[in-house]
Amino acid sequence: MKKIIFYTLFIASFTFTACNDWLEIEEEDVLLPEEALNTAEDYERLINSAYDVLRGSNGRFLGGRSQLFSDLLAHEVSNKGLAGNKLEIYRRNPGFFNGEISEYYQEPYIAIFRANVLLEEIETVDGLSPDATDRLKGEAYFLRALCHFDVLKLFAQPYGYTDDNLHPGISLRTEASQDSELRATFLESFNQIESDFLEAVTLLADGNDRGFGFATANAAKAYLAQLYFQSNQYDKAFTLSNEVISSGDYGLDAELTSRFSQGLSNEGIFVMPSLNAADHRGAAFTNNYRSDAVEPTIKIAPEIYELVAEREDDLRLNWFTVANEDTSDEEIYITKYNELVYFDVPLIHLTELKLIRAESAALTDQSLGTAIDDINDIRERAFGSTDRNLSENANATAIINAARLERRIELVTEGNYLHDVKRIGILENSSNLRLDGAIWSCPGLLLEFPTLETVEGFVGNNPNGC
Amino acid sequence: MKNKFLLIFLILYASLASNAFSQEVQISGKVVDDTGEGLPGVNVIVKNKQGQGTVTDLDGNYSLSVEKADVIVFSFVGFSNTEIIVANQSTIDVEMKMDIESLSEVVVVGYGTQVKREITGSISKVDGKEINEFPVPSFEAALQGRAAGVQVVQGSGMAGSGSILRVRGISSISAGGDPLYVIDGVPVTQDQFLLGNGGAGAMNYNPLSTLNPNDIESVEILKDASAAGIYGSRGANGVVLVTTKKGKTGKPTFNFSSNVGIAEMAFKPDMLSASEYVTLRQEAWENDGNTGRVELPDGISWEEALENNTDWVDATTQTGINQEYNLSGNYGTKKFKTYVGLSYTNNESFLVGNAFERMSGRVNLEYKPLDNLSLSLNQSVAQGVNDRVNLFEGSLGAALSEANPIYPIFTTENGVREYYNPIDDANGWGNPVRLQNFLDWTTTEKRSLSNLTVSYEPIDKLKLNFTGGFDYLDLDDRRIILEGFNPNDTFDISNSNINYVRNFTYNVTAGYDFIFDTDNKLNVLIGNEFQKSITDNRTRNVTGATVQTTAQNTSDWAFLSYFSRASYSLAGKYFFQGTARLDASSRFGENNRYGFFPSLSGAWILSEEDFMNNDGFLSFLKLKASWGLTGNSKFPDFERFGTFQIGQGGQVYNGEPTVFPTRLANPDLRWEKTRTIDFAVETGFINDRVTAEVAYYNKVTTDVLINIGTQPGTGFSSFWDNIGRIDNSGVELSLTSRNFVGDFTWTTTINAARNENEVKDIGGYSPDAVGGGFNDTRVVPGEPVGANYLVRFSRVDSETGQPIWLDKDGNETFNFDLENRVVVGSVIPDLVGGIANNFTYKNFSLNIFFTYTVGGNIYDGSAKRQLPSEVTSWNFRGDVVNRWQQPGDNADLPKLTLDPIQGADGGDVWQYNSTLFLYDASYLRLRSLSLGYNLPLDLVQRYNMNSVRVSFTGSNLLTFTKYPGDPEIARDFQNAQDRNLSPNVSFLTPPQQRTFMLGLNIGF
Repeated sequence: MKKIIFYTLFIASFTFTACNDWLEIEEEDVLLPEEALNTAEDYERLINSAYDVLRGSNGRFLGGRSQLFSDLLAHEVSNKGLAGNKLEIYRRNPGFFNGEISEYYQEPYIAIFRANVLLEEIETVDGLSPDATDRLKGEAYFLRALCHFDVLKLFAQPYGYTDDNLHPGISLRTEASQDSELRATFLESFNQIESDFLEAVTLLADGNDRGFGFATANAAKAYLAQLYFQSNQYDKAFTLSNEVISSGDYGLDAELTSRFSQGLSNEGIFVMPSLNAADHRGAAFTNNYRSDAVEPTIKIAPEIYELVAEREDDLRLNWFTVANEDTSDEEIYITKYNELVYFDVPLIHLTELKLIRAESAALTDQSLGTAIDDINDIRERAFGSTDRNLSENANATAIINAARLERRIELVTEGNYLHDVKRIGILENSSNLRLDGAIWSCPGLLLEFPTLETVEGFVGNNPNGC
Repeated sequence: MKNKFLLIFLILYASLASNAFSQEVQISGKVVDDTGEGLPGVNVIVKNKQGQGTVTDLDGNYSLSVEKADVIVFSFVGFSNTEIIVANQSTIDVEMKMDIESLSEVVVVGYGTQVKREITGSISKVDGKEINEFPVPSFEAALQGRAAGVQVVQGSGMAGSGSILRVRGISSISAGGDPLYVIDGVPVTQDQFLLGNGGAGAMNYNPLSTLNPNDIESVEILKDASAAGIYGSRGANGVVLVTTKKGKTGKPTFNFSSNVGIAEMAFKPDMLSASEYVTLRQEAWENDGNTGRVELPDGISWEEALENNTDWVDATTQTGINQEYNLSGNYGTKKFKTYVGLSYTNNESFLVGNAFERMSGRVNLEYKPLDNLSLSLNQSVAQGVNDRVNLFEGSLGAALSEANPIYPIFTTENGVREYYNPIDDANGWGNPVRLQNFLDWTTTEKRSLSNLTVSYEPIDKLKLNFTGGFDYLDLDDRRIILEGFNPNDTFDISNSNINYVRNFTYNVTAGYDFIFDTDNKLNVLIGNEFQKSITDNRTRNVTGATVQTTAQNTSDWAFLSYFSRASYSLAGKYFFQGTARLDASSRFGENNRYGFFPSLSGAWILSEEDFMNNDGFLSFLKLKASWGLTGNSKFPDFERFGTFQIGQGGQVYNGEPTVFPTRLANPDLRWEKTRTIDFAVETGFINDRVTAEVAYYNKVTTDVLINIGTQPGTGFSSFWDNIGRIDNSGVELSLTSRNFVGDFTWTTTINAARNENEVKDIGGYSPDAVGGGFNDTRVVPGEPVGANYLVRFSRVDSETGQPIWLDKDGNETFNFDLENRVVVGSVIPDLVGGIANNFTYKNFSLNIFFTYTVGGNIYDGSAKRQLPSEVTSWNFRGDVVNRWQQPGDNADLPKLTLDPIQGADGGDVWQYNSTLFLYDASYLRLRSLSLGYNLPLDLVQRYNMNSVRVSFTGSNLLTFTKYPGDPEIARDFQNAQDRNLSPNVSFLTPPQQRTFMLGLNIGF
């Protein structure tokens, strides 16, 4: 028996020589989280990567696709030549397999995830001054809000769709996590976006020395102005747009072609700068609309063209060109994006802010003079004269009508009109204003969530083709 | 190569030319049991003279011609062998004694062997002879229908293709669902995805193809937790133990065998001719309201089309020549035993340009320097060269799709004859012959399997065992596009992808037999095992003068295990076994690194009890039960780590550098666990003339490893996590009946297995979160793994010819909408099995082997374009004849149209997956028929040989099925998940091969 014990122990001693180290095998040639994120510089690179996502691969986020989605739903573009995914959206009946929507949808959340990682970890990073910490956090809040806001506009019914705004909003992601999320209510979504932008305003109050292309307090205020404006909260919209414009940091471009240019515009409040062709931030604008070399994929709806054409001397007519005029194949192309291989993409700019301020002022019956000036600034540039200016004592209604008309024209192909119609529909509690027959509240004016987002309990939009 | 073998054969033959003088006598007698009843079917053989012998007749009588010095051995199942020296006797009567010990054969179990009678778990054994009964692309294919509860889906007729084995259903989703393959005690490299995903020429790599089936002694499949439990975390999907042949004591003997024959398609696809295609295209044109002649693809005129009339199936297929030569030698003394096997095979498939050549050599040596010490070395080297074709663009796949019969193979441009290359088809599918001739694609595998075992018995009843194994695999996949394929290239383009896999294993065991008294025996085994596998990949791409190379480590994993087994036997009729294994894997973080996998089992031989009235009808009855946990960790190596990437190239913002996460860490990943309960009854009737085993099992798999398609809102696409639960339960039956014994014998073996599979939970994710790759199968709670998730087709509108679908609620609609997909079928069959009938009469033998599948579905993903509504440049399948043609038709298929069939959702034709192309997967197949003849012994011995057998074997000769194609389908898979979810989903998948082989087997 002793021998048995001896040999057993002998074997056992042999077997237990193996140690845990044999099992600690790491992948070669990869960057682990603990290696990637240590210093302040690393976190700056992380937030840079969140900015980088804003355009989306080939422009499939704010590089043109998000804007196109709005214009497809609003029928601000024509259905000529549309096929597949884009045609589905134009028909206001996209399914949850729509590939272009799926590609779009993930991008904002990639940026949000990166912003969340920064927000969760930045306080523990050594060697960061409080100012630098605030600045990085401010940028992260700004980007998170901007991304959520874009999704909210396309996937949820607007502010005021229900009295208590408890209708479905979007997936809110405020933690860097892989857990499934259901849709928050609109109110929760709105509050989150508002509070993130407000945080950004506070944290970036001392300015952002990183310059052009990065978030600033003004950029956050400009977006807040847009958020309030689209939510029919015109007092706040007026205050914030007024603050941004009054800062004097921005000037209206003299040339109508400057807004989408490389380095020629002064209007941009938050801009995605393009440094070279490979870095082109507006790839989807170019791919969809550029019409100087080839027939563009996307043509413009005749209605919007007529609005410009019916007023003589509108220089913005140069933004359009008519192909095969007076034939059955007549098509209207936009020229805003022609002749440029790459250009800076202003996501929110002074023209829009002035029109927000003007309409907000008129709707709240304050500072009508400023409002009239704003409209006239736009019109003088558009007509090259004061001929079409509002009179100095134009009334609020005239200002509102002018602002709305100019918004539709100035922001053509920038994805604006859909949200204007929804906003006005709620404000006026009316279905008079229609989008090619569709009333503002129609579920077909929303995109459908991608199939993988629709986990158990997740309520989709079921667009109905209205 | 053939000549070399012939030469070796002749030399060996000459060297053995010796002729002993002998004195022959005739003996006869009667064999009876202990009651005096004559025993029919008793084997009466002459010891050490292979092939010399007879069997007793129905009354137990026999007669035999022998020499006086011979020893006669009488053997019969359930009785002890009796040996008698002939001497001067001419009548030898024998009374056979019942023997408990000999009742059962020895079965290989993990880390040892056990007597079958004492086994408490569920193990299927397939003999080497059955594996070699007919030629298969790879040995595992021969397991089909041989073992109850083991589903084998043959790859395809492509040369060297592998099969999918599923032991007792599918209990994994994203982790590998294949059983663990262990060869001579060493778990071997078995990664089917070494060459990347299934896009590689429509065939996954088969890591088992270089193992020579002729070297296999037996294959044991461990099915339940009691049997597989000793492999712990690696046994959840079963364990396949392959044992190679060992040297046997005796004079040198040799065996030469060869099989030569032909291979063709087991099912020939029916595609339309040019005139038929043109007629149907015209019909579509007119259905759309047009008049005049329809334009043909690629600007071909009607006249040219009808003249070209290319039969692309003929142009891409052939009658393949298959040849196989094996030479093995056996020699053994008390101290030294050796087995040597050499093999050469060259199997052309029915695809032009496709062949698999294997050369292998194996030496198994055993040396016993001391009575209590044995050293054995098993060494094999093999090379497999697979001449590949690109099935889709360059072979049969194109012939069944875009290679339109109106296209010619050759055209003449400016007086020069060149391959036709349709402009309409930029991908090259239009002329597969062109690509086949310009693509030189070989996959060369060099494989060495070595293992050294040292067994030592320092004291009585204590056995120490050390085994060290090394499995080396060098896999070189090289594709060369020859100059001239791309009109502007004046050079070859070559892409090499080379993988080197080194797989080291050692295990140490100590076993002790405690024999308390004659009725109480306990065997205890403890052991330790470590395995490490490293894969390095190199690529080398040459385009003209440009050479690009990469080198990287692609896989590195290790397992460390401690295990123990205790087997207790009481009174020779009660058996108990417990196993426990503690496994640690490098794939898990420290918090979940170790998994504990125990099992308990028991068996009771009721027929040994006095209260059982053994009246001769029921000769054996055993009950077994087991419970246990096993595990699975076959998933990518580094998923527990998060990774980041530094932005490259355009991934900067405003010129500023970026860094971002690419994969999230999941340090909490843990073992997929399967709890199995098993009950079985083993029976024998009429002295075991009929034996049967029935088993019931229930498996519950939890913490299922899933590469879940996450919500895009997470900012990531997928994520490995332990989610959900899968249940499997089933019943297995195997039955062997010796219907006739004596001169004419007839033995029937039947096995059948029914498995029910249900996904209980996938953590609330959408059905599309776990998809079967290309294949439109999904994982949906309440349904089997790999549910067909399709839009339901209702009927063809007899007035308009339009297809009518069903919405989710079952209402008819003209609108095709993927939101209306529902679960409509399953790729898992209800019942699978095999039926073998073996007949012998004197020197003749006939084996007829059927396999069958009942239930389950096949989805044909290519039919949506072969049986189109929307006519494209694809050719049509012959059954398009059942289409709507005019108002009032009650047709199976909708009308033809050239208009895009976008519904309201504007979807793509590729998304039109519906039940229109879902078929019943049931089939019955004559898998093999083999007729053999042993030359008379006296004739053979005249030439100093021990045996000569000639045979004819046909495989896949007949198939009965409703599916309009070959019903055995395993297409190329993208990953393990696709492999789990999507067998029986076809996309231009080639059929199995039908072979006719002539065999010669010589023992000398």
